[in-house]
Amino acid sequence: MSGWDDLVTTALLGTERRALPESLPPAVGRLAVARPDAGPPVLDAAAGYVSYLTAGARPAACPVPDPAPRQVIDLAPEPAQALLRRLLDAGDAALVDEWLAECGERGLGVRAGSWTALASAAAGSSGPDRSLVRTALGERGLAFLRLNPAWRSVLRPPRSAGGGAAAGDPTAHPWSDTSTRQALDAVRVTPPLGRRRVSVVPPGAGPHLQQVVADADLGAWRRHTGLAPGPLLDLLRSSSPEHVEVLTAGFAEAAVRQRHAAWATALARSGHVTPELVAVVPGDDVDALALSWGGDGHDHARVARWLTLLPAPWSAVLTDAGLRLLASARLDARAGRRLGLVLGHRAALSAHEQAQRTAGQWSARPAEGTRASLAAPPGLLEAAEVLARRVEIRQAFGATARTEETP
Amino acid sequence: MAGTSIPLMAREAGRWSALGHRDGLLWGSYLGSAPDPHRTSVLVEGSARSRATTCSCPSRQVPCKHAVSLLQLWSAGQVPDASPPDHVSTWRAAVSHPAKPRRTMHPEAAAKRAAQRQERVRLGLDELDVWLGDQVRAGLAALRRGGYGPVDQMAARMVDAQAPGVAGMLRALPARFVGDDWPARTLEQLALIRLLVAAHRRLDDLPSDLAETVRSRVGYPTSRESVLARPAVRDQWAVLGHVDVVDYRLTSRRVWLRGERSGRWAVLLSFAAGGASLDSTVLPGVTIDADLHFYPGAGQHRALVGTEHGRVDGVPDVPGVGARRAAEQLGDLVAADPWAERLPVVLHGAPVPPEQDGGRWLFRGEDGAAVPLLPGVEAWPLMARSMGDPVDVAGEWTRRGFLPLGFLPHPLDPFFSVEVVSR
Repeated sequence: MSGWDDLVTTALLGTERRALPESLPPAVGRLAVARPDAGPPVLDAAAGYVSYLTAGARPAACPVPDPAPRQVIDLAPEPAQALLRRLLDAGDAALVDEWLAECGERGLGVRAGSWTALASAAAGSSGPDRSLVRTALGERGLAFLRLNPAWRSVLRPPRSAGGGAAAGDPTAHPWSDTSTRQALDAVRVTPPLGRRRVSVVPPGAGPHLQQVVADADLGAWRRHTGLAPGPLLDLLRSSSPEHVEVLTAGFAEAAVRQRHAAWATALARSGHVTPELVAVVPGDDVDALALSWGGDGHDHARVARWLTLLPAPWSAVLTDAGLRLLASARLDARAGRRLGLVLGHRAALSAHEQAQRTAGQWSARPAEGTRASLAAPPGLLEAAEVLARRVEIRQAFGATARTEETP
Repeated sequence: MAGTSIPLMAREAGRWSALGHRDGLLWGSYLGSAPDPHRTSVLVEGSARSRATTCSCPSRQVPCKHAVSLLQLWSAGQVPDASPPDHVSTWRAAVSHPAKPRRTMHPEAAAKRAAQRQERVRLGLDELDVWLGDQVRAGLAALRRGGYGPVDQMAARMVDAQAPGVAGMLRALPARFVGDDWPARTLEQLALIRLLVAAHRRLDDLPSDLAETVRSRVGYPTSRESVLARPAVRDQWAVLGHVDVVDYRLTSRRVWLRGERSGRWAVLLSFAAGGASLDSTVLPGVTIDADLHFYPGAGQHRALVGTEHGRVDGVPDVPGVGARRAAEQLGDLVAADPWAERLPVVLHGAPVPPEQDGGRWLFRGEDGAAVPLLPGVEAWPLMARSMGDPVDVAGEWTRRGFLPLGFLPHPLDPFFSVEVVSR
């Protein structure tokens, strides 16, 4: 190569400064006919050299790469694979999750052609669920993941659920008898008979009081006051509104930790809703709550917010309440869209036709599957659309849309 | 279409008059803010290779908003069937048969014209030759410092001299001014241009095949008709890969085909400027039974589809070769056409990831030899498919590395959509 490098150096510096090299192969050197101006001979020699090098180049030997593990799982059927590609292209992580869950349930895998897109999506911060991705990739796909440092995050096991210290394992966070005593001393229901009220001693206890209440045994309140959670909260609200916020927060924390269904239900009914608390409320009670919502007296945006906090799978009652709320057209675009998407993902698949029907009322040309020409209330089309995609996923795996039993 | 578009469309529809369509031809008059309506026509199918539009509005956007509106109305079923007015028929004839004008030229006149052109090219290339010598005398470092300006100026001169192929080679120069090996890559390109200048001087003495290659590299025009008049090569042509190249004004597409019986490779080129769409009539994943007509010249792959007798989905198995065999084939190609930039090939082997970050991917043939992949190639889909096991990959073997374009036997399966942005 030194002849070529010499030639390049001459061209780089210019023939005014450097002569045509002598080290050229004879066949190339012959092309460089000497003349007063050395520019063209350099180019002639270079042209010959380029062909000489191109035609003579031989690829270098390379060791055999390490073999990868065989794929032991069967692949999902072709229509499902094609659907996954579309979902990945659309960037809809929740539907990709749904697809992956269905795939995992059947013990099937994703074809190699989609590994790159799936891995890249899962490496993103709002991508599909990483453990579902790992399952669907199979042994061979996992070996593939390990090759690219950019996908390292997909290989990591999930962080423990909940993240913070407030996660609800009652054995890990037992209430304290000391706190229970302190709480019962601080929050009193007096007098035992007659016109009762809740009072706090000393008044204005603040964050410390909330903590004491949160650490106390919830069952103790009924034992000491004779009041069920609902009536106790009602009494608190009517007689001591200045303490409602602090005490309710303390009760709610305790209800989550102690997985106390009655307290959780009473708190939810009183309007205190967090995802953790709602998870403790028994399904029937959630349904009963949902049935009581939706009247004119309710704050619709607030009900929508509550609904979005309820975990999957939604019962028929909840789904119905959600669809009615969407169809009432009382939500703004943002709240409606959010509820529609949540409903689409959390409702049972059997709700698909109901959602389609409800949305269809606004559609001018439902036969062509076009979006409505009269603006449908926000969220309704989204709900129907997501449900339709979910049904499509089941069908792509070769199942008719199963009518799932609602919990 | 979004929910709001229906009322919008109703408003739009009110501005149109003299609407009609027939055989994929749409036309209408649009009354906008100007006193006179704009006359708009769109050709959506027929013999033209891509959609064509025309409009009397001053907008330089193609298609203009009136053409888009006309298409929307048409797709909404609001354009009635009608007989096209004269100006629309005339326009259609022009876009359908653009290469028809001087049909019958007297042979003597044609020869005289050709000689004039060759003389004009010769004068231009002589001027270029002096410029090339100057660059090497002053040194490539000075050329690089000058950047695009002087190179583009020389390229414009070559367009004037009716040597657009040479202009293209010049315009590709500044892209080589980057990277550690820029002096070698720049010298390589200058040398190939000089070789073309020298070959053109001896055009009349060269073997006719090579002379055709030189003419085509310089940019002498070859009419569609003359190519289609050349002998047909009928075969089952498997479409194995394609690549779109986005230049700043022009998008071009190369579609690679391989004849099942002949083993011959062919490339179909199409170009689109100003937002027009590329030819999509032949794309990877199908096999067409067709007459192909090759452009003249040694080492020539470029062809046109004459008659298509049929097509089936899928491509047959194509035996892949090792890296050493492919290198030999490139040698043969360069011997036939020293300016050849790429060899179409099906490689049988496996991709090998770089040893360290930022290193280059290799493609290791089953013969144990490896070629680097072209820098910037998205190699992960290839790796997923192979994971060390041999696969067959169609692609372009270039001096700088291998550009994979499609897996066999499913060229479209791993969603290879190769797009190269130049400049």
